Amino acid sequence: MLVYLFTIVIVLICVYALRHYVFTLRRVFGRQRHPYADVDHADWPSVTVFIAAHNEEAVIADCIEALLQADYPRDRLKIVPVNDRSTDRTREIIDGFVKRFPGRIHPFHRTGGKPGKAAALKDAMQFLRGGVFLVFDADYVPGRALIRELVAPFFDPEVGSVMGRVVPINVGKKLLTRLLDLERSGGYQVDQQARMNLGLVPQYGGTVGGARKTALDEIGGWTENTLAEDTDLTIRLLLAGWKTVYVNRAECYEEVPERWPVRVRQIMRWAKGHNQVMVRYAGALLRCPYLSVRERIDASLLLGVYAMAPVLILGWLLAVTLFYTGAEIWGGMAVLGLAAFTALGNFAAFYEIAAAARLDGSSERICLLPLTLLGFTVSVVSVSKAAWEQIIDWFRGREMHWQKTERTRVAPVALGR
Amino acid sequence: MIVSHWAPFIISAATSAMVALPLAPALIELRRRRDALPLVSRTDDGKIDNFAQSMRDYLAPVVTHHNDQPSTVKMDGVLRDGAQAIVISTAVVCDLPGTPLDVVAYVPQSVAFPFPLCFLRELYVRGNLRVAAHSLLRTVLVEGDATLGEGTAVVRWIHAGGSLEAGAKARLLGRASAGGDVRLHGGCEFQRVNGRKIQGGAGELRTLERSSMKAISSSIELGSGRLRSQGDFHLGDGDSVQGNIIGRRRVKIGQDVRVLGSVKAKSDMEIASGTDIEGAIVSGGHVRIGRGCFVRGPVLSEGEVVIAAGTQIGSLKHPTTVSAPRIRLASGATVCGTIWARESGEVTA
Repeated sequence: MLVYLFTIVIVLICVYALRHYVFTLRRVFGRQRHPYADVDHADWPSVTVFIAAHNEEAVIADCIEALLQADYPRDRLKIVPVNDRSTDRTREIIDGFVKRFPGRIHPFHRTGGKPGKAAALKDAMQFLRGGVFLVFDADYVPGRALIRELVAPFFDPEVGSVMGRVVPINVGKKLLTRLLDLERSGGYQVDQQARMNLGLVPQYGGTVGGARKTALDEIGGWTENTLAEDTDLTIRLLLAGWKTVYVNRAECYEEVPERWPVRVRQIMRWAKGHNQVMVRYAGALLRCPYLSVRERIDASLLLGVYAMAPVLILGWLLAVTLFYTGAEIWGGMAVLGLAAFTALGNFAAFYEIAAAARLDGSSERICLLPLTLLGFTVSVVSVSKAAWEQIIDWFRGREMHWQKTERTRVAPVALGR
Repeated sequence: MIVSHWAPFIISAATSAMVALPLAPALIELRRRRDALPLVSRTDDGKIDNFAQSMRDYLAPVVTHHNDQPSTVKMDGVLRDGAQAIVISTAVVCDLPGTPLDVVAYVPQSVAFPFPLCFLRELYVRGNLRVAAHSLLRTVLVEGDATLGEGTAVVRWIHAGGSLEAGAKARLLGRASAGGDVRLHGGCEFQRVNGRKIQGGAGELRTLERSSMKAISSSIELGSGRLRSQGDFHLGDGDSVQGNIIGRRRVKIGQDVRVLGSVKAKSDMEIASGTDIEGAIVSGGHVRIGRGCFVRGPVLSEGEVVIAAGTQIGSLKHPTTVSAPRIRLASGATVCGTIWARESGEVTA
């Protein structure tokens, strides 16, 4: 029994390893798809930009300033800071901008209601004007061309949502920020772009992205009771026949966590939200008539990505148990070899990060690659803990709570704009 | 005996070193922080004429120097990179050597070069420019109108503040842009072109402001706003559709059809003559647009786009983009806005 379970674990890990290798090789050597990157002239649609803010006094001014400088027809750009029950100076800062730039900023000061970004965005939809909306977190600093780059894919009538690339701004602060910088590079530069190249399922990430209003309406709007409204939206759009596309060139700076406890809370929230979506939609995904087999497989693997951490830990425990009980393992050395290879979750993910650093033209930061093992280990433990808590909460009937990621920026950033 | 006594320590030290060795570069980088700045992300607005403004800034010292000392012909060390610059007046045009000019050239007024020239560096003309056939230019900024002779090649980019006309078989490698109209004669090769109106071949520059109403044989209104077809999709002659069409395979649209929306095909798309599309055309394969069509929105293809004569993409009021790896623009076809041929573009007869 344990041997069979161990074999399943090994197979699952190998499937994910293969996925990483396919993505990396396709990204480095394959044909690159950037079908919307060249649109620089068009009859641009009206767009509403929501800035999700909950106690963001340290960062929100940078974000609004950057959006005010965006190269997009002014009469078609509506900026809506969504001040979700902030208790700091966020409201005061937003109102200061409203006075300085009359008619350009339309604040939504939310004083009650359900906590969480999804709930706040759901309420903010009353401010939506035009067919497209974009969402930025308050710590993001968009470049001048970013709005156009993110809106361009919506000329494709099949596109329901779009995602840009997130680039950490506080890279050099700590070891953690440097590791997260590498991780983000791998995730966007290789993972997301490879999925775009292969016509699979790029993921809407909740910020530096947006969606089409008709698509959102068709799927019944935002889901309030989720910790990962982004994954939830991606999958529900997919099920309704809408595509999510990734625009690698649409880069935006963000602040990544600088302290390990903040990072742990962040990844635990992501893991719980992701797992929640997996449980809700995995069955529907496999039955969906609109999707190709490749899309179904990719979307299923995407949903299972956070579930792999406890699977990996289970694999470690099984390996030790089987070794000391002297169990006979089917396939002998081959299985043991695979087990050794996958002992640290497999090295394919690190290969992906290395490829991303090369594509980004980073020369020295690639040296940090062995240290990503540290971040990986922390993530495996945190994500497994999140899954365990989730199971316990489910048994006890407890509702999950959304937790904001703590910011550390204290002064405006200067990026030479 | 001594070896066996120290053996465990030697083995431990060697093992530790083997483990630590791969970490050494990481620890060095962590300490020295040689690559710890955020990745450079794009902060400009992506406009095609940004190059022109950068060149104006780069050559501003030459212009100022010439204004102060109009008789100066050669200037050394005026530019910020120390490059040599010359001033070409109309009086000296005929004296220019036939050999390649490896200096920055500034022409303070309109100029016509009567014989083929080769400029290996920047050429800046404050007035109009007319270049003889088979010239070779690297980077050209013209504040007025620019006319390039047959077979002339521009290696990097050209921007004209007025109109831009490229003779037959001219090669515009890189970017070509104009504040006014752009005319590309037959056999002309291009990559990225931007202008108020871009027309292939000779003939009158014709633009429509909106699509004309057609005689309609049947009208289809899509309740959900989009029609999805899992296989090939064919829209008959004279039909009218209100909404978006998404074909998972090939899409074929008949003659004189009117689509009040966008059309997407996973594979190839063929649009017959006289059809009007109010939205965009998006294709994962090739796109062929027949004669006398009008497309209001962008045309985006991952294969080849062929635009037949008499067809117009975009309008003066709503300029748009045509983007594909390969683009064939027939003589008599018009695009208002930008054409971006990532691999090759050509004006066909």
